[in-house]
Amino acid sequence: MPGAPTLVLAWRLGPLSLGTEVAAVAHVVESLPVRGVPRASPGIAGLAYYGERVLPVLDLPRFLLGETAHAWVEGAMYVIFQIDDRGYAARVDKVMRIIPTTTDALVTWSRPPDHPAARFTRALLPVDGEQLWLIDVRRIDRHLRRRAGDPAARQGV
Amino acid sequence: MTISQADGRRALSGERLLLYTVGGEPYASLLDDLREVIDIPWPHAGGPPVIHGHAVAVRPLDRLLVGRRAGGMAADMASLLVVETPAGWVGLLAERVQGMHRGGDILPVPDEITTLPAGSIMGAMILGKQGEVEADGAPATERIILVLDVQKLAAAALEEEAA
Repeated sequence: MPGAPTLVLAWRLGPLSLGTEVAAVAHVVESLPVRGVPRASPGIAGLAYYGERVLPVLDLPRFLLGETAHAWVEGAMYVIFQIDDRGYAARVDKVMRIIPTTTDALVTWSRPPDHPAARFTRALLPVDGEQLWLIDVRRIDRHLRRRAGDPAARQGV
Repeated sequence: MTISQADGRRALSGERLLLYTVGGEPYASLLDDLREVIDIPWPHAGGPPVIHGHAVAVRPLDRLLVGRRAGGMAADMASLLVVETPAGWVGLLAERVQGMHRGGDILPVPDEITTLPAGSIMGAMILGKQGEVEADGAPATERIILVLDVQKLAAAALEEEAA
């Protein structure tokens, strides 16, 4: 019996090809001025004012590449995620395309590699000869909340 | 604490925010939460300030915000934000008061965006939106200022003192 159909937004960050289920994606925007905030958490690049909302901007190189700095390519874009009632923006190098797939096509590691992105990766999606790492933004959200001492943040990553 | 959309979007039109700096970084608080704002020489000499007959326990805000003893305020004069709590009067020492601003909406932001104590952020204010001008008539620079809950910070100061 085939798995449920799903859509994945594929994007690129440095050397990694990544994807996110479109159910979590609210918008993709081209430019978004990011303002620093006092005592920013290591996972947050700053705040952005977008559509009458203030969105924390995720420091994806820190999360997913383990880098504290990243040479962003020209024309970087922002993917705006909606996680429950919380919104985040994430700056990415490039949005590639939307890929229709099914859960049957997803594969997992027998042994996760020692890579910072592995802890936020739900599964892998083979696409055109390469593996798309499917990022679970809820894990990033939980990670931030747990570090902030939120008792409601469940165990796990 | 994560403030709800409803709380975060409560209109503050007509209310005022006090803008101040701590460690060179801008913050704001609802003026209604404050009982007094006074300038005092710093380092503070002599006994605690007495305001309306109450000796006020003075605590540097940056010590509360970063969880360590303040490295020292650069300004000769510092501003004491005096807050009355059920447990007593507390003066929170800010670097300097930058002015007041008529409030707009406080937009919700999750606590985990900063390393500030949980619950100390009421939300964010956008100042200097397009079309606004500064006091000198120059076009305003858009900036995001975190609005602190000084009542919670004052309570934290008292708890720290008690511990």
